[in-house]
Amino acid sequence: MSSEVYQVLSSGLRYWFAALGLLIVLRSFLWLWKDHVDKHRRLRRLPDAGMIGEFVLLSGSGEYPPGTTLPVPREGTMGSVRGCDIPVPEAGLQRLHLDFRWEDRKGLLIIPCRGRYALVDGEEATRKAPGLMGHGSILQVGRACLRLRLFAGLETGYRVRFQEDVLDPATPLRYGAAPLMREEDAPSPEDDPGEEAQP
Amino acid sequence: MSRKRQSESVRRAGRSLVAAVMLFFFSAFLLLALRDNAWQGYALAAAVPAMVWLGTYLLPRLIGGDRLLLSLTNFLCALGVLVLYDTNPAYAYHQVIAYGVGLAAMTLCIRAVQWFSSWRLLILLMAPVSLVLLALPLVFGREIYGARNWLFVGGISVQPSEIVKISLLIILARAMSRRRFWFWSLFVVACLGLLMLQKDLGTALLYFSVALLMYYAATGSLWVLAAGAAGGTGAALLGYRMFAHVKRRVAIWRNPWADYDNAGYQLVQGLMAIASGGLWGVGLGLGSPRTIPVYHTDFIFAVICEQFGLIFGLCVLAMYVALAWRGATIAMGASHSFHGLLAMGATLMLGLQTFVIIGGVLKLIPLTGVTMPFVSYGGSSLVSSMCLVGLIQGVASRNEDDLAEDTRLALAQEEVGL
Amino acid sequence: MKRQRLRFKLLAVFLFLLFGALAVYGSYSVLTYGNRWFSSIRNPRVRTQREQVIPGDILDTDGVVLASTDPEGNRRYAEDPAVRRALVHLVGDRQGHVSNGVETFQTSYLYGFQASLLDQVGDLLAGNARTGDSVQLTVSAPLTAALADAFRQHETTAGKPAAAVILNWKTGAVAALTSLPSFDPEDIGGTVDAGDKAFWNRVTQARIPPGSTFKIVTAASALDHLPQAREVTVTCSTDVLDFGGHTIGDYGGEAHGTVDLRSAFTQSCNKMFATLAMNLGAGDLRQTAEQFGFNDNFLFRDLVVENSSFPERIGSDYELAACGFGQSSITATPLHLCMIAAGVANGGVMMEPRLLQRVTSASGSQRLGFSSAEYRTCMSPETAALLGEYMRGAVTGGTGWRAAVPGLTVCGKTGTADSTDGGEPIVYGWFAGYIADEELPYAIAVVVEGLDSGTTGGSTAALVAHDAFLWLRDHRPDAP
Repeated sequence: MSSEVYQVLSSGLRYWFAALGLLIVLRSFLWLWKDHVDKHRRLRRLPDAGMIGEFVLLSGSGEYPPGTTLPVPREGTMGSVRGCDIPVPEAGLQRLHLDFRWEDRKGLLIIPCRGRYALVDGEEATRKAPGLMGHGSILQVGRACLRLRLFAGLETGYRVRFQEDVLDPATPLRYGAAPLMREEDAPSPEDDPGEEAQP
Repeated sequence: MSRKRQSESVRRAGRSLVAAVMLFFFSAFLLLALRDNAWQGYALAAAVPAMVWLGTYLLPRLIGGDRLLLSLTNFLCALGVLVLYDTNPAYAYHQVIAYGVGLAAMTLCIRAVQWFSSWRLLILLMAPVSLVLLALPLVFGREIYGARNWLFVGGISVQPSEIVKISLLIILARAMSRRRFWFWSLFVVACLGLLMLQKDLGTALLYFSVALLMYYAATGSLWVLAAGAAGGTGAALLGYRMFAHVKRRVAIWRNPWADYDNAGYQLVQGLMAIASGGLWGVGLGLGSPRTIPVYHTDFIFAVICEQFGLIFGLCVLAMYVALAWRGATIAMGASHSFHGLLAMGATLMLGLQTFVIIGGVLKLIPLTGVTMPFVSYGGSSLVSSMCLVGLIQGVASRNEDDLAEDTRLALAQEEVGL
Repeated sequence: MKRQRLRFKLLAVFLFLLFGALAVYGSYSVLTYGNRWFSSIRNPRVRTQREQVIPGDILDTDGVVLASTDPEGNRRYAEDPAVRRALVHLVGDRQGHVSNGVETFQTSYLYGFQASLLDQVGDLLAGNARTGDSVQLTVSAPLTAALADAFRQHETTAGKPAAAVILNWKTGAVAALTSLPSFDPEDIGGTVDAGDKAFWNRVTQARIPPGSTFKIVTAASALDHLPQAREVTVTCSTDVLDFGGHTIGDYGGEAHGTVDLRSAFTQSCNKMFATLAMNLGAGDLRQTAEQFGFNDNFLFRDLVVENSSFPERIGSDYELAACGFGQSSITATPLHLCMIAAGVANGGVMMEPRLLQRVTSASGSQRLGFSSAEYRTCMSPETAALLGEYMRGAVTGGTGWRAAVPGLTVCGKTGTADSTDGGEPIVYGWFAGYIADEELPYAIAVVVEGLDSGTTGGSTAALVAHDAFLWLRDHRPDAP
């Protein structure tokens, strides 16, 4: 092609390229926006999205009435300030008290921050040896005593080591009373082999 | 039902986006092929749209991933190939190969994020390897453009700092999400020190700011952010005092016209190229982009602006913004701190790198020699940028899994009987 | 996680702000400086295009050809050698010796960079070589030639480096612009003497202390900031004001007796203005000066003009007092002083100087027409009216009497400024003034460099201005 013809062709096509560029940008932002709306709609239909269960306050220093439920996300922090994912403004809790993290087929890991104290089913959790919680486990931080209730359908490889009936006379069970573990690996508390935490 | 409809419309938007991208490159390469009447041009006119289709359409079918991110990434990569083919075809052929390798590496990164549930062993392996990689050019490397940051292995040149970028990001995300700051901050300092020794200040700046911002994201500690920014400024001032070439860069930035024929030549040629393009550009394949020194790496944005015009240049900027927006959305949607930090860190890395180089070309900030992600010539840079996008997409597919799990749980709740 | 998400959002916003800054800065700098970068003679793209495109013509306001391309493809300049030499700095030359002449600064039109696609297709089909747009300027060739000639007519100005510019004070259109010494673009080798900076466009590039013409600004500042400015009187004797070794006296050691602001202005009494500057203080005076465009980055669309400066930091009382009458380190270009005079004439509104009257494509369609734009408002209409009276006084019964032309209401201010060039003292003679007539709205600034001892701005520059006014009165041009 002669260079004169090419010059005219190319300088004509620059509008075409600019238009395509604008189209691509426009389309991408439209896509972003649509996805944004779409996601909100989906999340509205899934009020518990991102959550794995909830803590039920059994007893505390009185900031929250007993029986208060606190939703538990897959990962986050617990402490006395509202910025934490699970705010527990009970006495004895530090501003940032512990990190927790859900691990599939294991359970909820409890990792206290440096110098903080937390008891999981009566045993101290440390940074080196994080506490592991399953459905029905009890977490004691400060003056607060919290019981974990997992959603149905979550798998844990964890056995509850604590006789719970002492502690929860009147906790309402929203999701039914099933232990919510796989039948085969969820022994009932009765035939739980004698764990050291058992009284 | 409505969800399905919505997804359908999103899918339609996606299809027309991919079609527009393919059309763009088909017509552009055809135009260049007509100019040169060379078979390579026709081959690229077929191959590049095919790669775009492969990358945006087939890839997410096979392994999942985010289609919008893929469309934008593929557009930018192919744009790089296009501009390189226009200016120097030999570079374009290399870039096409790197583009293919990049797609593969991206797939690998997506898979890695999907598969690995524990990164502990991996990072314990990656940290020393990274440091060794960064140290290698000091021993074996050759100095190019005043920096000693290249490694030559069997005819292939590799920039270790680009590879280390990925491992640094994974290590930082892991350290920050587990609140293990002190040990790993030493690692960052070691990396920065090695980069300083390589005189690769642009990359050092990038690493430093990404590490700082990630620390802020993880802890929310404004004090450390402020102290880090102050420390960075102090280090910059110290560098300004100590290194003559830093002083020169700043002087050029303040007035590139003062020493037009020598020091300011590069920047001035870039500005002239952008100004010559005007709003609409001079037209693809016209103008004289090759008069800009390093038109193929640092100044590729000036070439784009010359050929396609300021409006298109702004469109390219907007594409990076869309990319960053997507990355940030994915990071915010992550339900694990590690994944969130990984996606956000990758987004910040890409965003800041783009800002630093385009800001340098436009004379908003002093020029530092980093590449423009996806577009600039350079295999290491292209592959590592693709890896970063791969990490973001891995997190996206994790988020999808989590959302699917949430849906499953909600259904299980209903079954149990609410 | 909750907080972390929030911080992610903040970081994303931070990134968007960075990109926003890029987009805004990039667009701004390309749109404002783009033509300056592009038209640089160092731009290799322009060189390439010059080999392919026949550049368009440059015409004056009445259609006199200032530059054209002959059938052999050589660039030819105006036929009349006097016009050629008078306008060479404005028009430029084929080699680009004159920086930012129309020949280089309007490259995008002259060399067809703005050509529409239709024109290009038309040229291609017709098999024509591409021709650039022709550019018509607002300047009048005979007026400029007369202006350049006026310097030669007077004994006190002949042969000296000088510059003069005439603006239409209503629209800002440049009616004439000439710089001396000049050279002939058709015969550069034979007419340029290496030592005398002939390629330099003194109107836009020379930064000269404005001397007493700066008193317009000082007076405006005093009228705005000092409520009793019009009542102040100063007794001006032959004594000098002493500032610890530095002294301020009047030109030639004159004494003006007891003067108020008006008589001080018409007699150009330095002591009065030194006193005013001391009373105003550096801050107020600088503020007024900056309102008049000092320290501004001039980004006019048609002309590249050096910035004028008023000192950012004034160290001593002596310096401040000297600022009052335009000495110290104040500098301004002749074009800027002309804009100041035009601002007084136009009721305190300075117009942006414009040069392009019309741009026409090779096929004859108009691509750009004349448009005028305000540069900025530098003072209130009342202050401007009062200053106009003072400037009228300076011409009817003051230092600028030589500029008076019967039949015209000429207003003006003279100035004589001292400067040094590499240790050697140089004296500049200034005149800045205008015709207070809506039908003949012209403002002028004249500067003559290296005055002989005993001459002043009033006896050099004012004479040239007089000749220009005379020409305007007799020819009454009707340019924009």
